[in-house]
Amino acid sequence: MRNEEVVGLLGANGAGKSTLLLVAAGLRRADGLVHPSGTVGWMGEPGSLPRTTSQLLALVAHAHGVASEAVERTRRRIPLADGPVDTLSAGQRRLVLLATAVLHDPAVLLLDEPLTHLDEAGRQVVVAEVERARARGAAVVVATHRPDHLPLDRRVQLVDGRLA
Amino acid sequence: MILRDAAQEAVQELWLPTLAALGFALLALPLLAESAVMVRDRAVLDGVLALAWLLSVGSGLRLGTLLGGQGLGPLLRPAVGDGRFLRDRLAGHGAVLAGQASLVLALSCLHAPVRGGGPGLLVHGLACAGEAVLATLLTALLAVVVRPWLGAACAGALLLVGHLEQELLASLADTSARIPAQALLLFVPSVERLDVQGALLRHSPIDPAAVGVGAVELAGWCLLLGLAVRAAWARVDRA
Repeated sequence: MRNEEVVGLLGANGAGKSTLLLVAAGLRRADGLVHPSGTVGWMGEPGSLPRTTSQLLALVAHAHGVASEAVERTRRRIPLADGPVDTLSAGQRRLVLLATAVLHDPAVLLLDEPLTHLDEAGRQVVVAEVERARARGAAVVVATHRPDHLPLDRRVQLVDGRLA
Repeated sequence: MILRDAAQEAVQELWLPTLAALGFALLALPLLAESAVMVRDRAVLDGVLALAWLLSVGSGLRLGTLLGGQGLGPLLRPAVGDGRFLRDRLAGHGAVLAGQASLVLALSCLHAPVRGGGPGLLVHGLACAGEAVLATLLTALLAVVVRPWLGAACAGALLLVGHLEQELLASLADTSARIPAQALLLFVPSVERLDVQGALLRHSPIDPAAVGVGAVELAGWCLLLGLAVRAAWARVDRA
């Protein structure tokens, strides 16, 4: 992985795309070592989130040690519905999770199927965030089944957990 | 921030059962105790002490299923580390559990027989809150390997065994099972030395030395279980 590069992880269901991102995010144990070159932002499916959008973003910002202004800046870029995250539509929830991944401007951004459930406006938000991350020098890895909808610099094919 | 969030979560989870328990202690319990004509005062005191313990342990078991933070875990733990995440969430939950035990016992002092318990009630409150924290930690530990509700069920059973340790040993007094049972019970979390229910009911004085030992025992179990949860979390996936 290089900075200022967007890599698309492609492969059939079960190929290991999400697992690889979980390992890179430090969320799943694996043999071997992963060396992220700085902070990591992960957008995946973390499970039940019985918090409002505002509460969740405040918690994530606090955990990463960033000021509340970062939350405001993120909310200006990403249109987020408020209310309990678990009651939001699937698309609105994806955008909230995108916001939690990018609000601390991570050096490595890992996006797992970021376009799922999103309409065209949501897709444009994701594309804008990917381009923004690349522009500020981050390395971006996107696991996706829709590579043509994202500004990928390189594509990597996974088959049964191995690079094809 | 994580601590405050955990405390808010605990309040959200516990306000309804706490309200129900208070309603029972303040309104229903005296009526029920009327049926025990000669021992009404003792029945009220016994009922309040038992209710406070049951509510605390039940609340601790419930919060234990949430200690991992559900979806918050994958979002926060990599950033703050498992240790700080556990410490802050346990502190938030523990504060609410202590407040719950204090509230139930303080309001139950509206009943004269409970008021008569005096400083012994403080020790009982400490025991209730302590067992609740143990329930939280034990559930969180078991929830690493089984589903959270099953972890809570197993933790509840273990704590009940620990709570009834002396009674169990007494029932085995003349059998060959006493020694192995005594050895096994060393591994069951318990704060039985903080249990002053019997003394309160008999109106006998509380032994400060026993309370001190019980408090140390409680702190030791909390530390041990906290470290065990931290170690268990480090050995499993965060998401």
